[in-house]
Amino acid sequence: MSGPDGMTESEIFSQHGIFEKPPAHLATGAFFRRMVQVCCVITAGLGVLGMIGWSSGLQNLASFGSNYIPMSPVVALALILLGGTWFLYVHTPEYRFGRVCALASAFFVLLIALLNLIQFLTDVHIGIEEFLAGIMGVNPETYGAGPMPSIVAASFFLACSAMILLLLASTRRRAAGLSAGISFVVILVNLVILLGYLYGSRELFGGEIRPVALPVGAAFVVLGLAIIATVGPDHFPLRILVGTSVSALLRRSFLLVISVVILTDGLVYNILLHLKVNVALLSALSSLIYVLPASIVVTYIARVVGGKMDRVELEREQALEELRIHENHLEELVEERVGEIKIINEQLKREISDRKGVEERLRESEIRYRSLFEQSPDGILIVDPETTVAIEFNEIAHHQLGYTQEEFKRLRIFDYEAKEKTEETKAHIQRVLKEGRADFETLHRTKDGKLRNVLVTVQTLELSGRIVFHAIFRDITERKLVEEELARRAAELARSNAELEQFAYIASHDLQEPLRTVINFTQLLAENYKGKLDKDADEFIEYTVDASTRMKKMIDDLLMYSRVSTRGKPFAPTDCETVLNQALDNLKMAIEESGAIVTRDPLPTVMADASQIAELLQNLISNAIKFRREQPPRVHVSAEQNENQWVFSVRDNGIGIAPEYFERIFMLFQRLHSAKEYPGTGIGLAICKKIVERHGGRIWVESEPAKGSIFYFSIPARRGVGRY
Amino acid sequence: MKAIEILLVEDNPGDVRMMSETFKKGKVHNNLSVAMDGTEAIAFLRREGKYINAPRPDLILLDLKIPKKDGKEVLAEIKNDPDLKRIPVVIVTASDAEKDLLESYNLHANCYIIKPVGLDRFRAVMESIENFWFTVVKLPPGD
Repeated sequence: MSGPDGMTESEIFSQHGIFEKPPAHLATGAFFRRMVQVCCVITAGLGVLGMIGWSSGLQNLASFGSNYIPMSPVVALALILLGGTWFLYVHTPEYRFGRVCALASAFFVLLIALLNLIQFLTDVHIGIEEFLAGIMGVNPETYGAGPMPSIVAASFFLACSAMILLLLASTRRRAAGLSAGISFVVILVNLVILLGYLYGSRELFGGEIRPVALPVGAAFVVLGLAIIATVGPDHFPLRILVGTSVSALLRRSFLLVISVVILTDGLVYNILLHLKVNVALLSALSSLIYVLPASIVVTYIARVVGGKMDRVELEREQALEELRIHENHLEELVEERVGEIKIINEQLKREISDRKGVEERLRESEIRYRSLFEQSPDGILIVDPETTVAIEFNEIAHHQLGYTQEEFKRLRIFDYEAKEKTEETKAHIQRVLKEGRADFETLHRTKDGKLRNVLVTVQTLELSGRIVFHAIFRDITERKLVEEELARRAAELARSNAELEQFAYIASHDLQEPLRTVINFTQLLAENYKGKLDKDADEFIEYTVDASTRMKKMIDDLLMYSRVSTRGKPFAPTDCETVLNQALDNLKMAIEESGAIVTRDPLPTVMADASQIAELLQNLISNAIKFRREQPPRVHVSAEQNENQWVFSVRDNGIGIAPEYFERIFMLFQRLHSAKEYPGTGIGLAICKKIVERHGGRIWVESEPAKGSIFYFSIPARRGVGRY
Repeated sequence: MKAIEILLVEDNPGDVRMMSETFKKGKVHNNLSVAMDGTEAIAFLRREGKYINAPRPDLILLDLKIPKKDGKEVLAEIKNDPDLKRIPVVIVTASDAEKDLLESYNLHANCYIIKPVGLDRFRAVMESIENFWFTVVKLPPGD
């Protein structure tokens, strides 16, 4: 119940004046208030009994025993006044009336007590007792009146002082404490009187002078208790008895034990005394009787105090247990937290090392860029778009224009841009600003006036919040020259090729005219004059007809050969299956005559000139049939994809070709056999080669004489086509 | 029956001989005149100089490869001449070039024949010309 500074709650309240409340000694709870009221009622009640006794002549009501002295009417009156007004005061402390009444009563009784004391000390008879008894209508003679006993007067004096002190200085701690102390003294004094009555010891309640009446002693004890209860448990003596502390409990218990023992002993002693038991037995019995209440009390104490201690111990253990749980929990929390911190630390470490890595990479990147910048074969410049002056540039940038670094620092783009390109360059700059990059070719003029072709790649960069141009100058003058030379040569080649084609075409075409006449007239000659001239003439005519016919065939072939390029059609997706069917259709006669068996694998669709592929396949298959051995020819056509091209093959079981002729057979008019063995001009494979080459492929042969040949040709596979 | 007048414009004497031999043996009565180059052909058609009395041909056989004025020029002049343009012109040439073929028809040639190689085929073609143009076709009236 104690605050941090050893002060109680009510002290704190009263000191700080936080609450408007009744005097502190009345604010201590209903129990004490009830106790005060009960005590006041008892006090006043004892007074009333005394008064009734005197008024009605039943003296026992004022003495509690016929042998005992009764209380005087004045004392009874004083008790009624004090008990009644104090009750009133405590019952409704907020009304001034009760307080004033109590104060008035206390002063009045104090006055009477003082007068009695003075009378006793000075031996001067004032006769106050008789005076008051007279007022109350009691004959002073009937009760052997005299001054009230000095002990009673002193008790009244003390009790009234305590009351006045409390009434006048209720807010002062010292006053309250003093008041309680005085009351305690009153109680002790009157307890002695009560003990005297209990043990029949006259000396204790007044001796021979003026004994104190039993009800009066009891009334003082009760009144003292009322005052102490009013003061409350914050002050001595209640302070040491109340509360939940073990010491207070023990004090209460021992007080009880003492009271009980004394009371029991006294009662028993009196009873035995009345029964006239001898002294030895008296002692033994009283000893026995001591033991009983003592045992009960000790048992009670043991139960209450021990129970209390056990409870406290249990609570302590529970508290300890809770503390341990809390501690464990705390430890867990701490561990958890430590774990978290560890993880965070790890992350931090990783982040730091990551950051280091990033910095390292940044540095490496810087080094890479720096070396690229410095060692690039191209000029690299960072240009300010407003001034068009290079902020930064590498050695090549100024070197390739023939300027020193110092000179170049001051040059604007238009200082080295060829004049005829100025407008274009302005447009390029606008485009870069708009689109972020541009690639273009331009002309730069070197310091000594030479023009250089330059390929420029510009893109915008944001450096420290402003837009700059990152430009790369590649000097392509040499490349340009080479390109021009190449283009010139290509054009020349194309022209000479075209001329050649034209030559072949015209030659073969124009050759037809005279040849036709030769053929016609030699035939006419043979027709009109055969057998009419001599034998030699007939033979000569025959040679002439043969040769001119063969020449006609060659010229036709040559025409066909030149037409591969001059009459070729644009490439289109071509289904080789269909094309092969067409070729086989054209070869129907030859296949039937020879009894050839032509087989095939699935063929793809390729980008090609369909009629030329048909001609190609037809030539190859026709060759395979033509150059057969005795057995019927077997021809197999297949195709397979090899990387980005289709490789077709036409395999036969014919006479084969010796390796030394593998190249020659594809050349124009090259023949391995006489016209008698195998007819033909030697144009077929040359045309095949030309067709394959026109398609961007290659033709070759693998063969073994007398076993067979495989002719291969490749056609590039293009995106979108080339599936089976 | 009036003989059909034919103008052959051809510089190759062999061909001239072959054709005239063929037409001579033909069933339809015909007169074959020969011009050896383009200029001569035009002069003949316009009856200029020595050709003042030249007959107006019912059919012209025109080779494309002829000296001075080539066949196409001659064809163009004929077909641009309101008087001559009705006369059917048969192109007889050794050229099988697409270019020649298309240009001739664009200039309103009436037909295009490639000179065949070999005696038999030559004769067959000549006979079919004679048969078609002299008997099947109804020619426009002359002068």
